[in-house]
Parts: sequence; structure tokens; C-alpha cells
Amino acid sequence: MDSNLVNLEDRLANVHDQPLIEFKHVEKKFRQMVAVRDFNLQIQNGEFFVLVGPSGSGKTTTLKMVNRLYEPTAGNIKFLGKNVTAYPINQLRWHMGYVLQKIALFPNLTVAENIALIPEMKGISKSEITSYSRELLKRVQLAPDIYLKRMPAELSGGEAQRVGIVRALASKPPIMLMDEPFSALDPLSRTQLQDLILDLHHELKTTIIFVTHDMKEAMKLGDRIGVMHEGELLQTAKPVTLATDPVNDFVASFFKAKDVLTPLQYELNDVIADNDHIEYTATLPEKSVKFTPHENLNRVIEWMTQHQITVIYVFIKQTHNYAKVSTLDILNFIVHQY
Amino acid sequence: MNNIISTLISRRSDLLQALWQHLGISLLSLLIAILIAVPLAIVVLPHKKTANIFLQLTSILQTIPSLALLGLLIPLVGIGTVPAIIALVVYALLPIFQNTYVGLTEIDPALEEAADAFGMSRLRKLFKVELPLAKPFIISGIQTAAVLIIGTATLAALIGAGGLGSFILLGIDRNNMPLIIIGAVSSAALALLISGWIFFLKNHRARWSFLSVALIILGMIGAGLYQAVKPKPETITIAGKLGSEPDILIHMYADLIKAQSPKTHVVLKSNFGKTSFLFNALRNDDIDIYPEFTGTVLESLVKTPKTKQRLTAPQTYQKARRLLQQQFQLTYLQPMAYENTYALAVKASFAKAHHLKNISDLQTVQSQLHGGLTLEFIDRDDGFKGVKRLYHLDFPVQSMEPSLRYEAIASGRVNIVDAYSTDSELQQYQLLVLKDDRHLFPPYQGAPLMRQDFAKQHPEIVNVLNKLAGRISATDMQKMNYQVNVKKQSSAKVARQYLLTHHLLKE
Repeated sequence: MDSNLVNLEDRLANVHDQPLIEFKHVEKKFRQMVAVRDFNLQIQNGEFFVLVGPSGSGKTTTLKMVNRLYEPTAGNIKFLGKNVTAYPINQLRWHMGYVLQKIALFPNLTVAENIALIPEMKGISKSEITSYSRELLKRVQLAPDIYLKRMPAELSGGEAQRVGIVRALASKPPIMLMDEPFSALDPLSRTQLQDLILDLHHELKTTIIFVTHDMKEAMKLGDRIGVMHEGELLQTAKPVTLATDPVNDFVASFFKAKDVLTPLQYELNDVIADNDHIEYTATLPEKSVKFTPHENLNRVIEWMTQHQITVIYVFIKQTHNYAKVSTLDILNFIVHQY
Repeated sequence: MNNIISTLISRRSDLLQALWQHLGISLLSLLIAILIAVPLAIVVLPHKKTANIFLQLTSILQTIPSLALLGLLIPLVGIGTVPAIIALVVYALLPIFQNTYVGLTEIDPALEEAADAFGMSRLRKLFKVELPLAKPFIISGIQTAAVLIIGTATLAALIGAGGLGSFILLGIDRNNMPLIIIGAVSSAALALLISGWIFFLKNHRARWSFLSVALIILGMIGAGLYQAVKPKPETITIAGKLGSEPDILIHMYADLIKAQSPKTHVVLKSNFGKTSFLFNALRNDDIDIYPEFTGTVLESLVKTPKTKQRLTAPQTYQKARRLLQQQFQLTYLQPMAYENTYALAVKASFAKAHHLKNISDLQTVQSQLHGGLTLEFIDRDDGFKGVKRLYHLDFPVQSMEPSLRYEAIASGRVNIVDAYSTDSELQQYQLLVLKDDRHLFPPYQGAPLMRQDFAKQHPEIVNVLNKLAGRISATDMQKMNYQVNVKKQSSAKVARQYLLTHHLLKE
């Protein structure tokens, strides 16, 4: 066995000591145009990291430097503490699942053959590949007996991208790179696949770097979100922090874009019911503001922003006490409704 | 139609052999072209400029007329199958290269990116992704090339590579429509068949393509090996130019040699091509003997200072023999009696009515003459130009194809034609050859030509072939040509008949 590969597997076993991926002063120029500048970031093992930004912001370029589809013009990227260029390139790539916006299932190969591509190269036995492929297909709600033999042309867009995800996961990679994987799908399939990838992430603990231009998608999926603009990483934070504490106007405006926070058909009631950490008090503190549980969330947010108030109290009829609700609680709730 | 069927039946084995040769040459060329063009396209794929250069180059190669290409190859690789295959490969390169290149460049970049991102090696990507995706393009390129090759391969007959072209050439030479039709239809049918077979491969998975290509290669290697290991007795190869006359002659040679030494294996290559092909083949040791005309030797084979002096037939032969010996170390045996020279012919009835015997007699009927002459005859100094000068004759002429002028005189559209003095049509259309009483036309006598070393090693063959020296008159030859061309008898039978009647061969 190749010494570098053993090295890579050893490093994977000790992954807890260090960030899985580390960008250090990474820059990428195409001819004279700077696509990514001075990019610094650490991604921890098991994280679901979303890179978000408008088109041309450099997020896809950043992603493609991780599996060396592009090479940085300055700086370096480390995988398991070692420069990505130190690994044999193909072995590096076998350890990084890749899902494309255009899905790119090979039209000349069956679903089974598409899924088996990387495990085959890794030398995994046929029977093991088949059984794991079946398991994964079931996991993404595609009946293996029907779908394994199908050709990509016989799949719908949503089905094809499920296979695309299975293909990326089939070699059990420690990390998955996903380049706007759902943006070409219809809204229904998109929502379904977002739920699916969240479930898979929680189940398999696979680290994911996910690129999207859709802030709503970023809020729903990311443990942490990095906002990019014109080649720069403006802010890296948890979704809620991003909402409450944007680092600059661009992040704020990108976050507050209409489709992120509306429509909200929810009531204060829903926020309280969803949250186990709400504090309750029997008496209303001085100068506090009181709301009824059926107040529309839109109006509450609007009122709170207008009056610069961060905490409100909601009277609960059944228990005769007050629930203390902060802006953070509301935002957390909103983020989790996507 | 009946004609075609009877020709088909009588030449069944020839046709099968020609089909087999044609198929062999075509498929081998196709295979070589694939083996060159596909890897080339793969190699130049990442280099756009180089690829463009190759695209231009292959297009230029394809614009060279096939006949010219064959001609250019003869001094380099001689005659036979090798130059034919080279020429065909050159023609097939463009469609295959172009389609492979286009097929590979048209692949969705997302698929290329995916293949890279999955850590496929260059080779794995090529075989697992790129080639399968480009396959429909590549195969239609191969299909185009195959049709092109099978069509062009008919020209291979011109340089002695055989195939269906020999039927067509023979048909044109003998004005035999059924032969032309059989050759052309078989070639077209073969093209359709191969094209259909390739189409079938296009719609099936790769293993079928590999399997069938492997089978063909195995078959060819097998056939080649069989040829190579097959025990070979002493083989003498005798070839003849296009036409019935050389064919009859080489059958006579074969009969005489076999009668002399029955164990000798004689191979006959009838209708082997035109003069220069045969001459080069002889010098390259591809063939051992072929009949050549004394006039042709002086006219186009040896280097000789132009003399105004008119030579008699024996003088011509002596000069030809001497120069062939000096310049090419070839031995030229004794010539036969007949002269196959240019001649002017009129209808026998016309000759009788106006008491015509010699060309000079035409003076009296000059005003009534209307000629149908071949372009070559009109243009030659020892042709119509000479007739005008030496015989002081002039009359309106029309240029026409060799086979057409006989029909023209038969139908009365013209009343005088040029001819070769042994043409069977002279007898067929009851024409009379006028005597060249002022010796304008150079003598053309036929005699066996061979390499000097061959003649030294086979004195018995020299002896036996010299039996024909001074035999066979022009009338004999006309009759024999008539029996083959018009009466459709086989050359072998006609040749044997002559040898028996003249006691050159014992029953």
C-alpha cells in the first residue's frame, strides 16, 4: 500500500487534534483578475460549513481549490494538517466527495456503475460496493432494485442529484464538497434534498463544505456560514450571529434580502412551543413589554427593531406566567423553519 | 440482364476472390487508419493549435487525387497491396481524426470536471468516460471512412492489388458492360454492408465492437500466417497488362512452361495493370515474366536519344533488347510474328467498293472520309499528324473513346477509324486494316520480358518460351481476341487451342 495513503488514513484517525481543512492566505488569480484574495478559514471535522455569496464572489473557486481542480496562486490549503499538494492528487480526491450543480452523472454508465466509480479505484471489493450502494440508495429513498440498473437519462432531476450525493458518499469520504448542488432543481425537490442532506450529515458526521448563492439555503443548512463578496470572505459566523450581528452593510443587506425573513406566517406561540430554554417569570419586570401569544411574528420583529428592544414577555394563560423571549430566540426559530 | 447473370456464373470464383481481396484491403486499411487517427486525436486533444495543424494536414491529404497518390507511391513502395493500403489509410485519416477530435472536445465540461474531481487517472478517464461518450462521433467517422475506402479501393486494381476494381477495369477495357456492373454493384453492396455492420456496433455496447474487431484481426492474422507457412514450391509469376491479348499470351506461357516442367508452380496475374506498374513489378521481383511490346520499350521504358530514322521491326527489337539489357539488366526474348501497331481501318465493304488496300489508296476518296479517332492518335507524331504529313491526307475527324469509335463506324457515323492491328473488333465489325505502305507506324512486336538473373537460372524456360518466336500472326491474334472478347471464351481455352493446333503442345 502507498505510504502516503497510509499516512492519510492515519491522519484521519487523529482528526480530532486539528482542523480538517485550513486555508492560509489563499489567493487565486485568473490571468490578471483576482477571484479570491487573502482567504483564511479553518473548518473543523464534522462541521457543515456553507459558503454563500452572489455569483462571481469566488465561492466556487475557493471550493475547487480544496480538491485541486484549481491551484491557488498564493497561500496554501491544508487537509489534516498537511498541504493538499503533499498527497498524491488522485488519492486526495478519493477522500473528498464532490457534488456538482450540473449533477454530471456519466450518461454512459448505469446508476450502479456511477456509484461504484471511486470505491472501485480505491480497491474496495465488488460485494462491499454493491451492499453499501444499496444501503445508501435506500437512505435517499431510491429503491435499489429499481434504480441500480437505470441509466442517468431515465432519472428526474431530483433523483439524479440523489444519486449524485450517493456517488459522492460511496467511498465514505471524510469530507464532501458540494457546489450549488440544488440550485438547478425545482423548489419541491430542493427542499426535500436539503432535508435529506441535513439528515445524512447528522447521521454520517461527514464534514461538508457547501457552496450556494441562496442565503435562505445557507441559513437552513449551515452550522457556520461564510459570506463572500468580490473574492473576499467578509464574515464567518453561526447563522444567528450573522442575522443579529452583521459585520458590514453588505452582509446585512444580503441577509435581510426579502426572501430570507418573509413570509412569516408564524405567531409568538410557535417560538415558545419550539424552545425548551425559555425562561418563565410569574411577575412582569419594570418597563417591560407584553405581547399576547397570538401576535404575528412579522409585526413583533418590526416593532422590536423599531423600538430597539431585545426582550419581550408573553403572557401564558394556562400557567398564568410570562415567557421571556429574546430577539435571538426569534431568529433561531426562524432559521430552523427553513 | 441475362448477360449479367451468365457473366456472374462464369466468373463466380473470380468474383469471390475479388470480393475477398477488396474486403481484406479495405478492412486492413480501415483498421490501420483507426489505430493512427484515434490515438492521434487523443494525444493532440489538449493542444488546440497542434490539433488544428493536424486537421488541416489530413484535409490536404484528402484533396490529393487518389490516382495521383497511387502514382506517387509506386517509386517509394512499388506496386501491389502495400501502396494501395497506404493510399487508403491516408484517405481514411481525415474523417476518423476529425470525428474523434470533435467527439472528444464536445464532451460536457461538467463531466470532465467530475471525472477529475473523482480522482480518475488520465487513462481511466479516457476509457471509462471520454471514449465511450465520444463513441457515436468516432463510429460515424469510421463509417464515413469505410464507405470512402471501399469505393476508392476499386482503384487498387490499377496497381496490381486486385479487388473489385479489376472487374471494372477489365469491363472498361473490353467494353463489357456486365463486368463493370458486377464490379460496381458488388463494391456498392460491400460498402452498404460494412456501413450497416458499423451502424450495428454503434448501438451496442463496447464489448461487441471489441469482439468483432478482434475477430477480424484474428482472421486476417490467421490468413496471413496460413499464407506464410503454406509450403511453397518453386513459383513463377507471370503477369499481363489489361486486356484479352496479354491474358491469352500469359496462358500460353504458362501452358508451355508446365508442359516442360510439370512440377513448377505457375501463378498468373491477369489484368495486372498498365505498363509502368508491370515494369516496376518485374524489376522489384514481384513478378517474373510479362509480355511487352518492342515499340513500348523504346517509347516509354528505356532512355533513348530521339532519332528521326525509321526502324524496321527487327531493328526495333534489337535496339529494345540491347537497351533493356544495358539499362535495366533485363532479358528480352524473341518476339512473336504479329505486330500490334497503330492502324487505320475502314469497313470491308467500303474498301471493296473503292479498291482500297493501302493507306496511300485513300487519296482517291479523300473528300468522302470522315474519321473517328482516339485523342491520343490525333495528337501523336506517329499518328494522325504523321498521316497528314507522310500520306498528304486530310479529312475531318472527331475524337472519341477507343470503344466508341468501333460503334461509330459500325453505325456509319464515321467511315474511317484508328485501331490496334490485333483488336478483336476488327473482325467483329468486319473492318479492313489498310496497309501502312510508307511505314509510318512504329513496329510493336510482343515478346516475353524477364530479369537477367531469372533467365540465367531458368534456361529451360527461356528455351520453351522462344518456341513462340516468329509465331502468331496478326490475324491469329485478332481471331483469338475475338473469341475471348466477343464469343466470351476463356483465355486459357483459347490459348491452349492455339498451342495444340500449331503443335507447340502435345495433347
